[in-house]
Amino acid sequence: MILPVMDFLPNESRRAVNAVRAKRRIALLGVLLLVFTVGVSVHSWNSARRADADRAVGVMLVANAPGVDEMLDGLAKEQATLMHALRVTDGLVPTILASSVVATITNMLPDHVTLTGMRLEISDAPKQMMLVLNGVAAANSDLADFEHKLAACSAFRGVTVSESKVGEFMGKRVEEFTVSFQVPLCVQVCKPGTLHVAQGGVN
Amino acid sequence: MRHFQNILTKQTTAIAVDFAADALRCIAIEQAVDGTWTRRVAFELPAAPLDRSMDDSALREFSAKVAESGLNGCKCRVTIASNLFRMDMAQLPTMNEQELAASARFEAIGRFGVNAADVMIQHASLPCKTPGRCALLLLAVPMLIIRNATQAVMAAGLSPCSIENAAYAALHGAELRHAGLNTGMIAFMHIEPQQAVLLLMKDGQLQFVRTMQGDWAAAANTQETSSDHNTNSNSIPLEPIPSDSAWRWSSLAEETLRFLRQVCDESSWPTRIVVSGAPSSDRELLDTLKGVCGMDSASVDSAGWSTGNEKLKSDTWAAALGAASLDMQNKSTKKAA
Repeated sequence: MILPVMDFLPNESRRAVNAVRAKRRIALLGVLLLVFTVGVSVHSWNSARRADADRAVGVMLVANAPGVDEMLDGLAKEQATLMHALRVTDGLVPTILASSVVATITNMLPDHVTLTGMRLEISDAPKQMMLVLNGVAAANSDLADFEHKLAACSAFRGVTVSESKVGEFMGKRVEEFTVSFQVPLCVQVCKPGTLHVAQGGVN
Repeated sequence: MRHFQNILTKQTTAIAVDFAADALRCIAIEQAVDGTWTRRVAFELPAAPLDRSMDDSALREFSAKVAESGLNGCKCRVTIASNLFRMDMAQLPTMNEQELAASARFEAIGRFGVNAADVMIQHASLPCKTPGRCALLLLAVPMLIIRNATQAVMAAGLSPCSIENAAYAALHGAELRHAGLNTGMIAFMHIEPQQAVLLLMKDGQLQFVRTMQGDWAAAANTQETSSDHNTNSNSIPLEPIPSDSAWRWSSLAEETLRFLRQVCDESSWPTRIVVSGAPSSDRELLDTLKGVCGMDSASVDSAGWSTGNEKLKSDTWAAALGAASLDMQNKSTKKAA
């Protein structure tokens, strides 16, 4: 440089200028700090209010919602009621109808066998249906055939020909018989004319 | 918002305020990637006499302009017209810096006949051929002028970081933007409305200084200024010859020639004279200097130093641009480092 810079700014003026600049800077930083603080405070206030509102909603839900124990008690009561109703229904309504048993027996009758009487009773212990059939057969082989068919059916138990004697029916010689057996009440109707024992045994 | 930005962020704009005798000028320049100076702001206000506080209306106008330009809170360099300074050259015995500063101050007070408490004195060392002695350039300016300038700039919203003589600020600008100023014997003349400062340099080192009082504003047909502002009562003002021809510059050219004859011999005659200031674009001035002094003359053409929306009309901005160029140079140096 041809000539050094000859600065005529006095030191006191330089200090005054720097003081003014520092003052401006501090004032500006103060304003920014104030704005920042107010902003953060407002944000915090809003957040706190929102959290309070959320908590109030949660408390209200907890207060109004039924407890787990109460719900379990209610379900247990409902189950007990249903069980009682089932027991009553079991007592009043048999699971198998007599007409189904009669239809099954009728379906099993051979060609030369006919029934002349039938007695049907339901016993409580054990729960079963007791049947006594009276009928006539053209020959002893027909009776044996009928007996085999009844015994082959799983729904019928204890098939016994309790009486068999020669008789006369409408002027012809026939075999008069009496067959007795039991039908558990748990049998199910698979299709009309057939029965089988339900899984799980008999109560 | 711009005000806050100026306070908090690092300043990239170089700003200068020139309290010239004919006007108050403010310029803000930025340096582009290619090194060109781009003007962000350049405005002129009526001259503000610094021998008294700036009046309120002028201050309001100045503040409004600064605020409008978005320069509030920015640092700036201030230049003051050369005619408000007293300057002289002295030779002292070689001594250390502290002693030299005290001696220079003492010498200046004696030479200028001023009260030490009322002036601001600065000195610069110049090359000296005499062994055991050192040459000094002494400058003094009334403290009142400095205070008024500082207060006006601060009141306008700017922060002054230096105050310089306008002629030397123009020299700094010319040194950066005008080629060939650092080689050989070169004369540099800064012309202000009431004073012309002639600086003689050899290989980029200042050798001699001469101030020439005169109503150069009238010679340049520029704005009329009152000679009351001339505080240098020890010098005899030159009277430009009232003429419409190039002859009006003859007194300035002849005084320049007289000075050169005093300090230069045939072998060390300057190869050219570079002129800054308002009349430097006057072709007749350059021709007169060339004819009388027998050397090439050129204008620094400070109007072309920077680019902007509005072209600067004359070299009146040389001092302001020169002062701002110091910041540009500092920024470039830092960037290069």
